[in-house]
Order: sequence, then C-alpha cells, then structure tokens
Amino acid sequence: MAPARRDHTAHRISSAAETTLHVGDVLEAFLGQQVRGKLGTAAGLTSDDDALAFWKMSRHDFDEVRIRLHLTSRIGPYHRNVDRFRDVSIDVFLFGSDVDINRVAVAVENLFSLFRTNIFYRHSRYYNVPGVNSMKNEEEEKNSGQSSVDRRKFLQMAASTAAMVGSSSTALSAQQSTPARPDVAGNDTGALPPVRAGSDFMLDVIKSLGFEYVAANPGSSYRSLHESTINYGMNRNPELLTCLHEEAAVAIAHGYFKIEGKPMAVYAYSTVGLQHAAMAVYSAYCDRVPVVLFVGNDTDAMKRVSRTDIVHTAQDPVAIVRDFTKWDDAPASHGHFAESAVRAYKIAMTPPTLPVVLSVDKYLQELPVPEGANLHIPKLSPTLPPQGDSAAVKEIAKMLVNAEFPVLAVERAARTPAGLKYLVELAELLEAAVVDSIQRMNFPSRHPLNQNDGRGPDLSVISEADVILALEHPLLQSVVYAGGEEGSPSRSRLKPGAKVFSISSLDLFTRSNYQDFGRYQEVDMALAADAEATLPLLIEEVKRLITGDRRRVIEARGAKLAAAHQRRMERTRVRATYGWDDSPISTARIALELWAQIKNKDWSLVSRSDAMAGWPHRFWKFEKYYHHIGQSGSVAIGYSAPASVGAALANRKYGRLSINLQHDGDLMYLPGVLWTAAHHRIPMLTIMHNNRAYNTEVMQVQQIAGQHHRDIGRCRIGTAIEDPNIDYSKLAQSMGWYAEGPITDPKELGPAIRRALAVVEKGQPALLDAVTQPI
Amino acid sequence: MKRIFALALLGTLLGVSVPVLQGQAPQRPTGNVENGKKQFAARGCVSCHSYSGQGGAGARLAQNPITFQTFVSYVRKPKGTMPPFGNQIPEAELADIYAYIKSVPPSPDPKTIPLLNQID
Ligand SMILES: Cc1ncc(C[n+]2csc(CCOP(=O)(O)OP(=O)(O)O)c2C)c(N)n1
Repeated sequence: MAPARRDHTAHRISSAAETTLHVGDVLEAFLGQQVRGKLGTAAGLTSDDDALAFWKMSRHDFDEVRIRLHLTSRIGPYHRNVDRFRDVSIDVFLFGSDVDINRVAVAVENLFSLFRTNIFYRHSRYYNVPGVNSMKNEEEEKNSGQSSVDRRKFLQMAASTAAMVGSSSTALSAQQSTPARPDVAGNDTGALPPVRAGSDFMLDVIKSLGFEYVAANPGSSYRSLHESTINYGMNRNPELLTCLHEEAAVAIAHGYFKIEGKPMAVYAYSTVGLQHAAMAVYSAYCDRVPVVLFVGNDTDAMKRVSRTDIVHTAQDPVAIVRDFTKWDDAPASHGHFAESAVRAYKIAMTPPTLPVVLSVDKYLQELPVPEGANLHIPKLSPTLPPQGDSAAVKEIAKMLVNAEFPVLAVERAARTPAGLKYLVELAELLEAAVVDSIQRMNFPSRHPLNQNDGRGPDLSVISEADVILALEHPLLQSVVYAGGEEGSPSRSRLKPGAKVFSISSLDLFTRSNYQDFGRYQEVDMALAADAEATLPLLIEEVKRLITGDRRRVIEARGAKLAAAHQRRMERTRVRATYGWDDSPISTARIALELWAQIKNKDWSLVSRSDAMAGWPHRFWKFEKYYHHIGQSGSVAIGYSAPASVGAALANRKYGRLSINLQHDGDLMYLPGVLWTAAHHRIPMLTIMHNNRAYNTEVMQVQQIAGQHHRDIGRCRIGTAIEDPNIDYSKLAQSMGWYAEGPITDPKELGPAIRRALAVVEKGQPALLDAVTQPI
Repeated sequence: MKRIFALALLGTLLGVSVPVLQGQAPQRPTGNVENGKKQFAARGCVSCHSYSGQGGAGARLAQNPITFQTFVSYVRKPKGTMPPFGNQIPEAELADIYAYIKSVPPSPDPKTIPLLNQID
C-alpha cells in the first residue's frame, strides 16, 4: 500500500527536517540501510512519483546528484509543486538503495543549502519570514558565514520555521484578498495559497493573441511557462502539442499557418532547443510564414547552478536564427514581455509575414508578479499591408490591358483565400497565362490559363510574353532566365522589349546573409507593396481600361490558351498510363487511385504541393485555398511530414480530409511526428512514396559521377534507404496509427485506400506504405 | 577482330546471342532480357527512367523506337543532363538492357482505364 501523502506545507517541511535529523544519526552510526526504510515512509512518497525518475537517472552519477539537488533548490515557493519536489529532495535524493555514505554526507550538505536557500532565502524574500533578512542573497549568506551554522540547530530551526512559512504564504494570499490571517493549525483544508507566477501573466499575454496551440518539446528553461500553460491556462487556447523534436514543433506551426492563416506559438528550450529548431525556422522564413517562438534562457549567471543550466544558456540565444527571422527581443520585465510579445505578433503578421522570436528569461518566468503590480496587456492592432502606389498601379494596368501576351508570374500572390479569388479575376479579365510555382494555393490547377502541369510551369510562355507581372515572386530569376545550372552563364528568356513589373512586400524587408532573395531583379517597375492588397485596385483599373476592341483580342488569346491547356491535358492522360500496372507502383497510379476516392469529399493536400512528381496537380482539381499548402520555402527535406501534421490539425476543426503524400526520405528526418499526430488525435491519410531512396540525390551523384567519368552504378551508396528496408506500416503502427503495407501490387491500392479512409473518417490517422517507382 | 571475339564470347557467357556481321557496325542484337532487367537497375538507369523504362526525370525508353546503334551511342555520350556512361557498360550488357526495354509491353490505352476517364 502506498504511504499516505502529507499535504500540508508546514507539516511536510518540518517532517522532512525531522527526517534529516535522522540523517545525522545515520552519518554518525553508519546505519544508513536501516534508517532508509524509516525515511521513505516519512517522506510519504508514492511509487508513481514522477520526480522519482530524476533520482533513478542520477543516483549513479555523483555530479548528477548535485545537479538534481540544485534543480530542487531552484524551486521557489511560487511553484505549485514545491512540496512534491521537496518530498523527493529529502527522501529519494538522499536515500536511494545504493547510496554510499560519502554521497550521503555530501548530499546532506547540499540539503543544508537547499533549506537555507529555499526556506530562508526564497521564502523570506517573497513572504517576509520574520527574522530573516529578506534581501540577503546567497553570496551574502556565504560571506556572512551562515554555512557554518550548526547543522542540527539549523534543521531544528528549519522545522520550526516551516510552520511560519506555511502560514505566511497563506498570509500572502490573504493579504491579497482579505486582511485576515487564517489559522493554519486549526483550519487545515490542505489548500495551498494561490500564486501568480510571472509565467501566468505571460500566458495571459499569449492568450490575448489568440493562439490555439503551442507546439513544444519540453525543456526546463521554459518550465514555468509550460506549467502555467497546462495548469493556469488549463491547456486550452493555447493547447500544448507534445512534439518529439524542436524542428518538428516549428514545422508543425509552419503547416498549421498555411491552413489556418494565423500563427501557432512554439516554446523552445534555450540553446540546444533553438539549434534543433533552426532549420524549420529557416523554412518558415523562406516560405514567408509567421511563427512566434518563445525561447527560455537562463540569463543571470548568478542563478545558473547545474551543468545543464550553464551549457544551455547563451548571452544571445536568438543569434543562431536572427539572419532568418524578422524580429526578436529579450524582455527584462513582465511589462516588457507583454509589449514585446504583442509587438512580435504584430510584426510577424505584417507582410512579408515571417517568424519572430522572444528570448524569455527563465527567472522572469518563475518570478511571481508582485502584489499590486501595474501590468497591462497592450492592445493588438493589426498593421494593414501596404497597397501599391495608385499611379504605378494604373500604369501597370494599362500595360497589361494593351499587351499582346501578358503573363502573371506568381509565387506567393495569395496570402489568404481572397488573394486566390483576386488572381483568378485578374487572370480571367486579361486571359493572361499564369505561371505559378505552387508555393501557395494561388490559382486553380486545372484552370485553362494555368501553365503548370505539376512538373513545374511551362516557361515557353515567358518567351512569348510582352508584359510580365510578377506577384510576390522572389525567385523571378528562375522564370526569366534559362540555363546557368552547370556553371554556364544564364540566358534571358525574355523577348526584346518585354516589360517586367513586380509587386512584392519583400521589397520592404531584406536580410543579407541567406541568399533566399535570389538574384537582383531587373524589372521595369517594382512596387514595394503587398500583392494581395494591391490586386483589387489593379482589377478595378483593368476593368476600366478594357474596351470592346481589347476584349476581342483578349478573348482570342483565352481561346488559344484553353486549347493549349486541353492538348497538355491529353498528353498528361497518356503519360499517366506508362507503367500503370507496374510494381513498384507508379506515382501517377497512386494519384489517380486516391483522386477517385476523395474528389467528392472536402479534401486538403497537406504534403508538399509537388509531391509524387506533381501528379496530383495534373489531375486533381485544386480550387479552394486549403486544397494545398505549397511547399517548404527552403527546399529542406524533413519539412513535409511535420508540416502535414500541423496542417491536418488545422483542418480537423473544419472536418476536412487531410491527405499527406509522404516521401520516405522526408519522413525519416522526424518520424516522431507520427506519434504527435496519433497522440493529439489528428486524422489524416498518409500514403508513402516509398522509393527506398533519397532519389533526388541518387540522380545528383549519378550526374557528377558521369562528369568525373566514374562508375554511375555505385551511386546508391549513401543515397539508398534499403538493406534493411524500412517497414513504414510497422513504424506507424508502433506510434498508434492504423497502417497497411508494404503494398507492391497496384491493384491492392484502391481497396487499401478505402479501408484507410474509413479509419480517418473516424478521427484516426492512417498510413499506407506504397512501394513506388523512383519518381 | 579480337574485340568482336571477346564480345561474342561475353555474349555466350551471358547467354546472349549477338549476331555480329563482320566489318559492319553492330546490328540490333538479341539480348538477354532477364539480365537486361537486372543491369538496368544495377547500373542506376532506374532512378531517372523507372524500373520498366517508363520515364521520370529521364526520357521514356519503353516503346521508344530508337535503334540499338542510337541507343548505344546515346548511353555512351548523351546530351543534356544524363550522365555519360562512356565505356562503363560493355556492349553485350547494353544489348541485354536494350532487349529488356524492347520487351516492355505497351501501356494500356487511356480509354480502357476507368480512373482516367473519370477525369473531366
Ligand atoms: C535538410 C536537407 N538535407 C538534405 C537535402 C538534400 N536533398 C535534396 S532532395 C533529397 C532526397 C529526398 O528524399 P525523399 O524525401 O525520399 O524524396 P525523393 O528524392 O526520393 O523523391 C535530399 C536529401 C535537403 N534538401 N534538405
């Protein structure tokens, strides 16, 4: 039977102190073994005590014992679990079964300091325990020689002071509400006084920003914010998503934004956590996705005690991601946190929307909000994105209307569903060819004006164009220039006299180190403005300028483009038959088997939009804003699996069916996201593109082997993911997914999809491991 | 002559029948389909052309009416982004690969695939 817990602070501390007196006896008599049993009961531990794990991990390592003790000593009275931890520090820390007597001696010494810091220093500081200098710090204590105090006397004092601590902490809350001082001894309900941690206030600020979720991998530098989120905020708005890697946390936030249109918060653990998160932050940056990161940091060197605290702290932790974030700050007070958090959100959401970071001091999180503190949560006033200069917009409209062959080149033109609607309207008014790099759901995939058949835009239209309007297109060079890949100079595709205009919010914000801004854009006019905000004005102007004559020219152009689209579609249809019955399964077959079963549902492709060689884009009707979420921005592998989970989470509340076409190499960077999806009951259907290789890289190494006139057949070394083959269905099953596979016969695919969809519709994630052709 | 003999010998060893006309460029040989299939994968062709030569990043080879001669010279010294194999693959092996590619049956007519006909 588990011993009964003792819940009253004073009682527990005094009994712990009493217990420790026995330790002295043990030391003198070398009778640790016998007494250990007694102490176990005194501390009232249950076997399921979480903190027990700390001890189990650390008791083999003396240094670690110290570290754990230090950790314990850092727990202030404002922690709700202070008593629980104290139980551990007194009993489990000191009297594990195989602790030798020297360790006990040092541990007891540490225990003294624990009591001194926790009971006298911290309690006196915040609760003004009579007789103890409230302002005295540990350094002063050391200098004053308090450490040489007689141990027994000290512990006796601790025991008697414990009662005072309990009552005075109750008094603090009483002070806040009523002047009455409850009679602890006579009126013991076991209730602990309310505490308002700094992190509670921080959470109020975070809540005020409307975050639904915070994605996080745990770490002590933000433990207070973590605890406030689950206990003070009751884990709602934001709800904590348990992530198994910081990179996954940020990429989940990345995918979520592209469906939900608002950022997810991320908590990250100081140096090492942010280092892990960095690549995903870079992807969000390149993809113009706002993510709001809160990174714990142990700023004050005087307060770092453990090896962990020390090595996990940086003077400027955000430095590692500063080159690819929009703004960051390290607030020094609670008020400062409030302003900076609201400011960070506002900056992140102002186009170009980008990630931001706050470095949040661990101590500031744990520091209680002083009674009567005048804290205020600033009002969030969204910044309206800038519309292009009206005279310039009129000029562009004139050029477009009078053009013989205008082309709209778009990368992230549609920031929201409205952007998609505007772009369709503009393209149809002009019957202009649309060259879409499908980084966002800018334009319907099967629209006759769409020049992208899923394998990338047909750039022959660029050479035909006399006017090109680029909308939020940082990599216009990839559209305008040909070649230049193998070191040969690039050559412009533009025909002489062609005019190029650009509207991009990126002209308002440029960093220098990372080269995602591309080559210098040689354009005739650049509007530093948000494309989506500018489109309504441009549309109005175009409408005004289209006369009867122009309308005829425009309609003829539209008919030509529609016919070309139809021919392309027919070629694609034939191409899809190649290897139709092959095993491994062709990616075209997967796309079509799937489409047949989802086309009448409310679906959303949550993987990279160009997954499976772009086959879905060739046949599926991407029409709504949530039909796909674009790509990583950074072309970083390892983005797609976590982003799909984030996007599927966002889709869940709308009851949408999330489809993830998952390349095997990409999944294995962060396979733990499968667990996160199952744990948080995120329904989604994942179909593996299991070509058992990093196939893109196989081809890269083959190309260079050819260039070096060496053996091309050896290029699967270091690029193939085989021997052993990964069993993705077992992997997924082990993390709580419904899964089938490996599926090698294409005829089995349709029925398997049907079974998996039935599972997904019940709210579970399901995975089918399709063994596929290389591309 | 020595080379032709060696090739013929290799062909015999691999179970390939290579009709060699003295003094003329190699004609379309009768290669070993099974070995061709194996070598098509082992030489790394599949990463761009898929397991049955249906294409991908590279061109479709199945149902592509090129002569053995053109095939051999393209593999050795291709244009574009395909890596040049030079003399990495002996001609007899290329004959097997060629035979394998030629053996791939035609794809079904799109009209016979209901899933494709559902696409409007
Ligand atoms: C973080 C990162 N590491 C490495 C690369 C280089 N890289 C580009 S494509 C690729 C292979 C991706 O494999 P998989 O996801 O299985 O897709 P496949 O190429 O097989 O279609 C790699 C490793 C990258 N882009 N990003």
